Amino acid sequence: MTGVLEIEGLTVSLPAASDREFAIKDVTFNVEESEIVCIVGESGSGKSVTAFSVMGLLDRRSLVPVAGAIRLQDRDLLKLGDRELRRLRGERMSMIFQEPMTALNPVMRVGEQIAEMHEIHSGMSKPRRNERVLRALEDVRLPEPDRIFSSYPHQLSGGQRQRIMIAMALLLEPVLLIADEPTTALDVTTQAKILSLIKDLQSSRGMGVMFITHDFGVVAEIANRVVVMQNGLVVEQGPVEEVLQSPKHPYTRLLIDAVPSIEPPDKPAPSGKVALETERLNKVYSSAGWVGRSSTVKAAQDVSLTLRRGETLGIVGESGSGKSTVARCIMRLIDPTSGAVLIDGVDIADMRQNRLRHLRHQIQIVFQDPYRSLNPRRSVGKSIVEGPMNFGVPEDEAWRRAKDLIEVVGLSADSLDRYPHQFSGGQRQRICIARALVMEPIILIADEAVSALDVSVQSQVLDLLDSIRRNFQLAVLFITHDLRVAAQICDRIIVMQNGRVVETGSTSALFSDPKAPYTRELLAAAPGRAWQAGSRAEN
Amino acid sequence: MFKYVAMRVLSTIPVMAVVALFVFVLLRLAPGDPAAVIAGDYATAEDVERIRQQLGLADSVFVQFLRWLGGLMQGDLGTSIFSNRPVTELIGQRLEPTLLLALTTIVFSVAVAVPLGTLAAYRAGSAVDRVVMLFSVGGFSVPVFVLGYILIYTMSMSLKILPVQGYKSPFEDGIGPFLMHITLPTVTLSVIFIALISRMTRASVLEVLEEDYIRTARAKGQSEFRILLRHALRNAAVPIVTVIGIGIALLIGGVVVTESVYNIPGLGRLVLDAVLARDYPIIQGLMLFFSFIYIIINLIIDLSYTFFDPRIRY
Amino acid sequence: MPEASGNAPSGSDPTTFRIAVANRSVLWGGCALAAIMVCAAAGPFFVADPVALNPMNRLKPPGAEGFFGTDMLGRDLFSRVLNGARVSLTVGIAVAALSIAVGLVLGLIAGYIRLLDAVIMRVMDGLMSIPAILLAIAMISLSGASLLTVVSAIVIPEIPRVVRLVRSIVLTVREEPYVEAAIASGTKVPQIMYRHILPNTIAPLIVQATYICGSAMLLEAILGFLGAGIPPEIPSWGNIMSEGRTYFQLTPWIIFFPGIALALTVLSVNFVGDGLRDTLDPRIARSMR
Repeated sequence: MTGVLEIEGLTVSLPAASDREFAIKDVTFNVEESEIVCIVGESGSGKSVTAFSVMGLLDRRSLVPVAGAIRLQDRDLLKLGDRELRRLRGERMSMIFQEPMTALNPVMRVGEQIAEMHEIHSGMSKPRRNERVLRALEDVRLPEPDRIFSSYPHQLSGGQRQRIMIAMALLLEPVLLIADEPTTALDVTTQAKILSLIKDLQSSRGMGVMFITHDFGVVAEIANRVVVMQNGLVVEQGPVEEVLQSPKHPYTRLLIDAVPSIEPPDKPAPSGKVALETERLNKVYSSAGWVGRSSTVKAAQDVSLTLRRGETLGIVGESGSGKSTVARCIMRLIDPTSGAVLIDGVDIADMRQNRLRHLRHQIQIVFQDPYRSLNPRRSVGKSIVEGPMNFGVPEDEAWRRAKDLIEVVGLSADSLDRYPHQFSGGQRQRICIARALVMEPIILIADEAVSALDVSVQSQVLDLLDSIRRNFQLAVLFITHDLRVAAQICDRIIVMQNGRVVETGSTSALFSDPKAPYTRELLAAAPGRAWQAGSRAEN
Repeated sequence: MFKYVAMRVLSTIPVMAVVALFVFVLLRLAPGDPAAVIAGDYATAEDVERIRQQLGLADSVFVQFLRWLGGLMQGDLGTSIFSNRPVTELIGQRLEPTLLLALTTIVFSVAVAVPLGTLAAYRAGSAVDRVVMLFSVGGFSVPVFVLGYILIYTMSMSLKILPVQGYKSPFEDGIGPFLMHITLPTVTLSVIFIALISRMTRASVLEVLEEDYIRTARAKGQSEFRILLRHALRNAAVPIVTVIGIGIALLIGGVVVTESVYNIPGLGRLVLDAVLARDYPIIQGLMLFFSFIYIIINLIIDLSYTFFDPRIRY
Repeated sequence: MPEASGNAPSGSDPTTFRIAVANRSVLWGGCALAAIMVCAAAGPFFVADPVALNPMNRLKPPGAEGFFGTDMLGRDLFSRVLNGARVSLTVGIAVAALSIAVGLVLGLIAGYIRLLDAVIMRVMDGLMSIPAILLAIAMISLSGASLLTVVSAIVIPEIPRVVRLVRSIVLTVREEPYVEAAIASGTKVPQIMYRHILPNTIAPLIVQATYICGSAMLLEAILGFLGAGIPPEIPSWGNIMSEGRTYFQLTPWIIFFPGIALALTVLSVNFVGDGLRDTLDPRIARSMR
């Protein structure tokens, strides 16, 4: 094997006012020909900074490489001038990014964007250029290359756009491909296809791939070697089997243990009183113009579910499946088009807002984005006591409850006087849980409540949710796209696709014997299945 | 597509109706007796009564409105009190200089402001950026007519390069004299327009430069100049075009003042003469005329978005 | 999972720099504005009567009779410019306060009540399409020139911009999860407005107020210049310049002195506005101007 990329002692400094001196420090690893090296780490680990340093795409005003060397086939990239580096970018090394939705120029046809590669780096004539592009589109297995060629990015799905990015990156047959979380923004089924595409192209072309991810499932799926980063340092590296089977560094172990298993644990069948029922819930969005046709989108169709106290019911689905629509209809944040929502036997589906307000304490919600769920201008305490005081709880009583609950969710009582920006994402989700609990609800909806969190934080918040469910006999409606998370926390699961329920069942039954083809597809797509099944068997 | 255009054209009707209604109500709700105010301090009772008749204030409000609206529908913008000629005819006579001044101003401003704003955005935080932004703040702060007089003072009176005042028609007097006379007014009027457009260009390009696809273009090895030209500017176009449309209102106001400074016999001068002569129907007619122009230009700009951004589909 | 630090190669350095500059422009603009206000408030007590005629000293150049010379009726120009500052500042502040107050109320209503939204916004679209100068001229020629008419004539065309700004903030903020959480915990609509939505409008409105103040002063001067502004008995920068037009070739300073005073005042107001905009919230920068 010959070295494609060697990074040696790379150190990138941060601006003076930052919380640490270096974005990355003394990073050393290499990528050989025909291998995939995964760089794994959580937010702030410096994995992306490393990738951008190689490409020479760091913002020079704030991030400056101060020591070390980056050698691409024996040329030190840090010593090259702008023009030389520009020539290497695209031709010898390429990069694909996390957000396929925004990585392509929205006002240019994708074919032209791919062809731009040739325009920059080779003097090829236009007809030959386009011919190459069409072949590249076939290589990434896009159907109807001619049509795709002249499409604009918004006319393509996320997975198709990522394929376009890959076609573009590989057009000039670079020796190194850098992939920065290329599947994180995609649905699982799409992710599985893109991963296998990258792997196939890599092995047929023999290039080196530097693959950045936070997901050990993905690592297990495609990596040859693994580099684990934490706070800007490389804490462990080695062949994939070695790192996954016998991690040496405690942080690596922590990360691996935090990955929820896809094997559901045994749980007793829930027997609590029914707290929430929906009957044939429908939500239709129609954009009716007063001239011409109107278009309708059926976001949720005939969704019926039952949720008991003390039970966690999962709604699992990919983007556009309607899972959040159902949650928002139940909360009456949007009005259902038809159907019933029974809370403790009372139908609220088309209750008037001023009557509904008096029932609102019974059902609470925790949202996905911890950074937007709390009013940044109000102290945490004020956000928590707002609800009870709406229901006539005296102010000092409300604050007493807030103090109790903030400790229940694992924060200290003095947190109440602080403001949201002083907390991390995980802490904010805890605050949101406290805000929900202070209302003494019977139903708690968690709408992708752990999806924006790092794995290690994610598992802690999941544990918290599970313990409050038990202690408060809550009925929890848990909405997620993540099968692993669902496997661990849910008693029963509803699988949704395109606004419809395709399968309902107890978690163990659904995972061991999926009935609907779509459920089977979802399960098969979960990355790293083989690895976890294997490691479980060993234990 | 056709349906959208039709819908968009139809949707200007309520806006135009609001303008018409507002202009109608303005005269009727004016405190005191507008006829007396318009007639002036030395008017006789007959004068006031004659003006009241001419303004159509004698009948019941409902009859007045129907008659007025009927007139509007047929393109009747009213009749001048003093010259007794239709306002549309007066507008027709004065249209050319105003139209040409507006055109030269828009062309000149866009040609200067877009490159300037793009440069400022690309070099955000640098000396170039600060100079451009300083110019922009200055442009918003100096009144148009003061600027006009400063230019007349330096270019015409001191340096004697350009004529002081007046207007030459390109159709009757030839292109050369036209350009000589239109240069100073164009520059005067352009300053605020350049300030507006360069500011919006800077903001819009700055935002686009943060986008992921700019990073993609860099990762491809594209040069910075071409990134600006091909990827940034086209994506930044919609807000820039929008601000040009909104700026038309500013331009119309500026035209009135500039024409008065440079003694150009256009619509602005018509306004001014009407103010001096207290000829309200002319002011009212011009108000309607300019509003409709504004609405139509912004309609066209709205429809042009598809050209700049394929995501906007109808 | 998005990486918070260093994912997009943009650091905190340029931001810090921008805030530093912004603060400096607030400081400079604020100081200049304060000085102008003091001059406007106290100045007239120390100078000659701005309306005292002196036909013997007509059109004197600066320095000979008073700092700025005299106008065509022999009145002291320095004194007239100082007094004119009062008119400009009064108009600027009054217009800003009134249009923000009315615009805020209408904007909140339009942003929260679907039914009224369409009606209010169509009216605003209509108002916006009437050129401000013409509207002001029309109102003044109907009701006669006075400070009150001038102020209300300038307020009306400014209102739509405030309404649009407030409405767009309301529409964005009401989709925020924290507002939905407040709805979910049974908060009443007025309280949601007051606690969660209104605070988001304050910073943009302060910035918008400075811009309105500046453009109102310009519009007042233009109206005065066109002979449709404050009546000539009260000296204002606009009508001083209007009177100076005839003699411009002879005595250009009659236009330049008040013109420069006006430009400096508006410039300092705009500096404060730009600085505040960049300091308070860079994200609001785009929704204005």
